[in-house]
Amino acid sequence: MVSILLLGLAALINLTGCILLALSQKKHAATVFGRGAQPLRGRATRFVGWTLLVIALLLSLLGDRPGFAVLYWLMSVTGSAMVVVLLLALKPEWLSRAAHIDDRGQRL
Amino acid sequence: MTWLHSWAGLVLGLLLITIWWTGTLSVFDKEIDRWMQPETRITASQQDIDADHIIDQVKTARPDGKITNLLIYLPEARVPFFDVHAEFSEADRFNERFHPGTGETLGEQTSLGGSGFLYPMHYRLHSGAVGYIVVALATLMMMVLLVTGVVIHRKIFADFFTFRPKKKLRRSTLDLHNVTGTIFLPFHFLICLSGFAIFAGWYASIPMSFVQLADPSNRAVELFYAADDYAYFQRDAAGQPATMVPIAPLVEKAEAIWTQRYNADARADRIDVSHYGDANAYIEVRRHFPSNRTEAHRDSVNFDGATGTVLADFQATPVQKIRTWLEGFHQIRFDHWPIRWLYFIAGLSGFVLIATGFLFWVASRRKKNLQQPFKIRLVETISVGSVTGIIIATGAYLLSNRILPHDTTALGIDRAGLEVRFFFYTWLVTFAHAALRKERAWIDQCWGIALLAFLAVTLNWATTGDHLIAALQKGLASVAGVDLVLLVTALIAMLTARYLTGKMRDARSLPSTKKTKTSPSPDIAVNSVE
Amino acid sequence: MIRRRIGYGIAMTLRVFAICVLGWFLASGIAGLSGIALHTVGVSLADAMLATSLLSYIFYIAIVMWGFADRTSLLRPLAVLGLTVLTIVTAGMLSPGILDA
Repeated sequence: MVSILLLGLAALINLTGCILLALSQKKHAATVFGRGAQPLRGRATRFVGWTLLVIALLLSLLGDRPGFAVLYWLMSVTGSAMVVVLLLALKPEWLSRAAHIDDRGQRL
Repeated sequence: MTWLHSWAGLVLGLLLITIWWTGTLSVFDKEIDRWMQPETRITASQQDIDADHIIDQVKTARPDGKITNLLIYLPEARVPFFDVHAEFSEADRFNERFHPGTGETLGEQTSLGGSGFLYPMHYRLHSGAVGYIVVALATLMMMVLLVTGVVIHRKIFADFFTFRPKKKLRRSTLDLHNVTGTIFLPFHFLICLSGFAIFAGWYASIPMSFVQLADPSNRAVELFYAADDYAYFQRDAAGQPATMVPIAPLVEKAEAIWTQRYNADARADRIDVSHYGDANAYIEVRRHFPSNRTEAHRDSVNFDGATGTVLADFQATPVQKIRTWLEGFHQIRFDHWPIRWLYFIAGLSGFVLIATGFLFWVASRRKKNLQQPFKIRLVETISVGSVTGIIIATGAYLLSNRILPHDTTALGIDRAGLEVRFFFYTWLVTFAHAALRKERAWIDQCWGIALLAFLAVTLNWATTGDHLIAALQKGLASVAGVDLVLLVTALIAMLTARYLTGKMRDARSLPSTKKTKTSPSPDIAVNSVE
Repeated sequence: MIRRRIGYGIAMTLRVFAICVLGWFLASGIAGLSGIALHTVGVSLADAMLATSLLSYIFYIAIVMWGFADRTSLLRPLAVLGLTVLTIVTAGMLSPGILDA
């Protein structure tokens, strides 16, 4: 049970990491936030994005045997990236809503 | 490289998408078996019957026969029954499945299901030796396609997340092709490499076999036989009878050896008895697909049939372990449901990759406008047949299983054979339909997929009573899973049909002056009927 | 003009066949020879041939990429053909020595 929760959490964190990595690129930030303010651009966001992916890997290793954990993490990063692609393509407004919630607390 | 990528993709696209689709379905082949073979929908978790009981059952079923060799696949979570293959002295084969709780037979197997048809289709195209060779070539070329694709796609990181569905069809299909190619690249690469690795020795030997056909004195092909030589224990029969020791304790002994060696629970999955009843009988207990590791182990302990002493304890060499790891990675028989679902999604991404490859080629040739209308029509027909067509063929296969009664025979073909024919003939019809209906074929076939999927779920309910809720209540996650995937497929197919209908309507309502060429654009479907 | 186009078409088709199919033959030939070499320095035949069979996939990619790198060259496919014959004949000559040892 704990293992499923850890793996699930890892997936969510992978997704967040991929979202940040995508939003750190100019064209995707423009899709979500428009041409004006681009609150999440830059190297800092990219760094946080990658860090989140590593955190997800650690969570997977906690939740499963190492062989499976690495495989699961790789597949889950892949899946998250695809979800981000579809979000950017079909529902970018969801991302801007989510980003603004983050943005209120701290400016990255 | 672009030329090579396009040419190889076009020529081999149908073949590759067939291998890819059946491979993706094979992730859940055992679940499809449960759906198509209702007699195997067993939820008994306790196992009162052991291998010795099963052997007694076999002897009872064939009292006049003398067993010479015996192969028993032990029950596991996804295959909840004993699968027994016995050879008798009259050189006839006996194949029966037994319930793990009661020891009764499950009755004759009248459907090939997923593991008997879809899975072998994946690696030998339902065709024996020629099929294997064609798949070998396809595997080689798939890797070439992946590598050339990466070489062509310069802006990998800049375009990593880019998919613009609202743009023109040509741009959006290329985007989707690139995205499914780059994001899933590690998976595609490893799947091709591991697929090759399973048959590595044999695939590498095929060219040499052709050489030997031409020049019998060239024995290079025999070098490659060594690659698959695991040096398993074997010995000839003594010709003298002897009583056999009980097998169940031997299984436990083997499991104890492995549990200690790997420091984790180990379960045997098959028992292979050679020269049953002979003084030189030997029993191999094997753990081919461990549930808790990626490697497709070849852990194998051989016991003497008369005394039960250990004769051999196989351990793979480091090089063999590389291959068995790759094999296990590809076959995904280990017990990890999140990873299994992720494989299914990754497999579907490969399907989308090849499909969008076709679509992009057609859309970009259309834009260049009518240099070779026949070629474009041909490729579009093949695209429809290989994308929506093969899905329809699969739906027909599942549906025929629910429509045809257990003991049907027609024209001398048994029910399993009839189901397979439903698959192939329906598939042929989808190609013919595509040739006739041109662009509307996509929309028609999407509706066809939705219809077949709904009918399949409904008929499963009608003929077995195990609809989604009931199946979940009974603990039949496999059947519920297949029904669920069918329903989701139907939904996606319907949404796609409506999306495409909208796109076609828009294309027709645009004034023709918007097109840059002077001749009427073939995008506008002149012959279509609403 | 038409005759030249047909000649060009045939040459290009043969080129594709030479590289993609013969390339497989060449990859196997290289796998065979390198397996023999590994075995000669002490690796068991099973391990040597398994390792080189797995690697033959990589050899094949390299051969195909090299063969098609130049869009119209006929030299490269001819080279593949020549090397294929060489490796297969050599492997054929050496294998009885290895197999019957």
